[in-house]
Amino acid sequence: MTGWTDSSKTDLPAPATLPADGMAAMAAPPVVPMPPALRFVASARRFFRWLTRTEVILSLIMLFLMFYMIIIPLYRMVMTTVTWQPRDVLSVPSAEVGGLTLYHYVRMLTGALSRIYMFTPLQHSMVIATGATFLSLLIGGSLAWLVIRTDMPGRKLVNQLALIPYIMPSWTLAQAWLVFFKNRLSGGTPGVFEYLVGKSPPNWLAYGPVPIMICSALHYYTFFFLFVSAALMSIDSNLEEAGELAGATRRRILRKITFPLVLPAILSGVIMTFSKVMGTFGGPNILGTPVRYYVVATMIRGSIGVGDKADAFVLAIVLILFSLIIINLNQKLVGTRKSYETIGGRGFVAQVSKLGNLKRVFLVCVIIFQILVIVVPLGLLVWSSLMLQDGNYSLSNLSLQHWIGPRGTIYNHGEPGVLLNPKIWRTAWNSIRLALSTAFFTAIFGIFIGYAVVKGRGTRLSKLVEQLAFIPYVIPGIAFGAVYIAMFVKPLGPIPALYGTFMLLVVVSVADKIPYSSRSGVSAMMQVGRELEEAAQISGASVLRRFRAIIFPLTSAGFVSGFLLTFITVMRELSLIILLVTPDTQVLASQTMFYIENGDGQMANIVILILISIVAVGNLIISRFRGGSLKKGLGM
Amino acid sequence: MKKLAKWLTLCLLVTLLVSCGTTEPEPVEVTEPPSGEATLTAAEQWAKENGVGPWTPETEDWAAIEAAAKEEGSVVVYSNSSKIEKLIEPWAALYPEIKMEGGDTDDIAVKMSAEQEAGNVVGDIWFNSDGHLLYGEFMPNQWAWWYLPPGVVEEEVTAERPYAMTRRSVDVIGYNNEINPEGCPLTNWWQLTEPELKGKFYMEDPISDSSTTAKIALIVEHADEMAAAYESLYGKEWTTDEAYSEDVANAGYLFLRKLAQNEPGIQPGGDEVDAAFATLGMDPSVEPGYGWTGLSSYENTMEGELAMAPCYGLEPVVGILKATYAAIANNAPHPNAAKLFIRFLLTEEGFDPWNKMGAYPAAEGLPIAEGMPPRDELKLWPSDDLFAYQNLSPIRDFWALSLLAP
Repeated sequence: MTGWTDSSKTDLPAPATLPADGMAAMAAPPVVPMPPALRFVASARRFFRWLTRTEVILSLIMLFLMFYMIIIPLYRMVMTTVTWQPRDVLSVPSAEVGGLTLYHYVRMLTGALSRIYMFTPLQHSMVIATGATFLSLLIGGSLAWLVIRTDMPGRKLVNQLALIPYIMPSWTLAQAWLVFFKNRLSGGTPGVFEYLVGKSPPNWLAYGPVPIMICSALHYYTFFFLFVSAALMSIDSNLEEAGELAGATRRRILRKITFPLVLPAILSGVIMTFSKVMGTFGGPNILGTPVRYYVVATMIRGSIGVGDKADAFVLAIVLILFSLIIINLNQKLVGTRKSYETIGGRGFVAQVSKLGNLKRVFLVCVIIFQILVIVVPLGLLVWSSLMLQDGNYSLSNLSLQHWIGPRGTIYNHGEPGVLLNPKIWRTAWNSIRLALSTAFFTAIFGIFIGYAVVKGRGTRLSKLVEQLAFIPYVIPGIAFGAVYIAMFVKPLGPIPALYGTFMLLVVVSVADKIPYSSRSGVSAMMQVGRELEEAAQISGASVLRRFRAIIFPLTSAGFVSGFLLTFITVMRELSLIILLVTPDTQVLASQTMFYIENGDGQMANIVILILISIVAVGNLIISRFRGGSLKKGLGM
Repeated sequence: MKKLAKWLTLCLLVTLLVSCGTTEPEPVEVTEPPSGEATLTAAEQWAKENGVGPWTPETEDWAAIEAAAKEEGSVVVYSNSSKIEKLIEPWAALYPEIKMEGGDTDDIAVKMSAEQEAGNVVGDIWFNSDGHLLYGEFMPNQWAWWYLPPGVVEEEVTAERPYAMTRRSVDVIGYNNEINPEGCPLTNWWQLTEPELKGKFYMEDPISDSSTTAKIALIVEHADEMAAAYESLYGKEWTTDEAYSEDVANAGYLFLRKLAQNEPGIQPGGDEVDAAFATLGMDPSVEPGYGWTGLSSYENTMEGELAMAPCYGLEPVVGILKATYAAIANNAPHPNAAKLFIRFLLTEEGFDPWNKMGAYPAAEGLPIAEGMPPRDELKLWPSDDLFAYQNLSPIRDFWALSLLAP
């Protein structure tokens, strides 16, 4: 069977189609005129055979999409930094708006200002990101192990609860931290710590890097939890038993078998946590600003706030480059290229470690941990939402006004209680719609990218796709949003002006979340043995059928966890879309911010609670589906 | 070397591709009608046709406008205040055929400028503070037109500052009146820079919040008065201060430097500022400090929720006067409904949701909220939004350097 006929039957045609067509996958193959020279025919044939391989086509489609969603915005960002902006004329009268200049780089990278706006914040970001990554690896890794590989009681519940801190907006924990540890620095009433201990907590415990690290770790450990538990789940215990039979010690098995197998997952977690904390804004704003501990994200937000977009983008670009370098170094050091296929065509056994007497100890630790990171912040939210007047802790002040109060009272600027407010219902629906559609598209993208990257592993194309897919992760959300608004107010190539539409929110969210599902897609696909698909191919299964019958079922755990992760993150994503929402496309997270800015803190808290419940319900439904499909995929 | 060349080629290619993709669909300017008015820009033409901006007529035929507005069917308002909700019912009672849409949203300036650049205008009305952007960017670009309904008088609207304001909100230095029942211990702003108040002055962040940057810009703008206040407190020239150096251009900058070096407690929002110095039941043995906050918080004090009270006797001023503007977007899809809505905003009924402690109506003849001192009794610096726009960057840089340089 020649490549030519093979391709016309099974594979996708040339890639230069519109994204939508590319997704739909089938069109007529291009007609090639027969060239006179035989050599040319041969190379053309080889080229077409290459071009019509499934992974190449998928790669090219994804490249095309990512070109629009990532490269153009990045290009815009860079262009803004190297041209004179209208505002610059005020400080440099000779500036010619639109002309090329290095002014912004000189301003942000040299002299006294650079230390303040750029280098010190960068150093702070680094410290926080590194600390938070280690902490979350510790927390997420151990929780994953306890849930997946031990007989600790209540594992299912822990599995569900472990996601909750991630659902909450990242600054919720920071605020709870302040309630506990605030000291005289921020005035007001003493925090709970001082009330209990009788001593004011020192500054390093109340503000600055330590609390920011802890709060970020408690928020982002979910990455490690999800990735490591997925990896642990797919490790066949036979592998470990083989080690045992061969006489290896427990520790040696852990070091030589288990650890290398979960290493890719850990690395994904490190990369995600590190780069996300590098760009995080909420926690540092609350816990860092009072002690003048600025990070790059706060500075970016500040520059955009005062309208100096070019300065903000210089900061963003440096942050991006810096994160990329760190991650690259990290990859070189750890060596990710090693990977293992663990889902083979054989049977699958997963064994759990017996904890014995330690069972109770672990359980108690986990329970205490979860009370601290879930019950306390949530309790504070609920309590505050029931206070008629904020900050008044007396029982007589409890009221349902903010939940179900009528319209036109003196509270909340006359808005009705949240549950009676049609605006909030519309907003909640927007959030759900946005999260579901984004999760769907990114999960699909994830599988495609995973397939393209893994099947083409080692080729430059595959590397390019993988690296491109990762880029959005290091772009700080607020900068991404600022570029997108400038980009899509006008028609762009075949894409109409999307500003003000719901589509725009979906597009920017999908672009921003590609790395999530790309990682889970790749790691899911890595574990699918080549022989499975090859066997199907030899038996004459078409590409669609192979995807339907082999790839999708076997990677469904990855698909669903990618879907879940995106669903959750999009629900509470704020900085990315805050510039893009209009009153009609308002979502819950941006509504929260709005209430806070208007001083309706309790309304904001209720909206957060609604947001958390929606995500919790969504999580319950989605992960239920995951369990079912995982079993089926493994033929159990 | 080869690798580098490859990368460069790739970069070049991408650049070419991207620039193709982006420059191609540049929207064509609306072609001007070939008439004697060719000197008018498309935006001016629109303003002239719709009678806004410089073409606002001496008198309006409100019946005709109302009829036209009913044809338009709705008005889209971008407001930064959630109190806009309170206007839904009274507006619907007055004009049931004209739906009020939009409502509260963030980053109004970003969105409206994006709409203007796209030529895809959604919002009709700017109902927002951020005057520095209105004057600094929207006015020169003709993105938003002023409209003061004929018959409405606003003292501060001039030919240079033509945009109609709906309200002027007061920001003051507040003290804790529970710990200091005798009144505010301060007499002069410069006291905030003294060592006794190190870390005891709370404010929002001029580095990340442009409205706070605009606030401190007023101190720089009124440097002469700051210099006089310095002299009246210390009996000497401000230039003799030990913090003075060559790069401090005036007494306003000197104040900012000294304030920043006195380690102010930077808070993420206005509520946090209030909570920092004016929470009820604070420890009387500890100096609670002061905060730069809205006079509107005093309403909470009157309701017994807070201990914030304004320092009314300060030199050189009691505080500042911020402005909220109402303007019509260029190419607004519902210009007549927009006119009608602005007229409504400037009536007693339309202003009612904001007629509270801490704000004055901008239009003459509207009642002032209970408890507010008459406007001329308080010495306040009115916000100067064009100055703020022009000086925002250098002032922010100066503040950041003073605050963070080791």
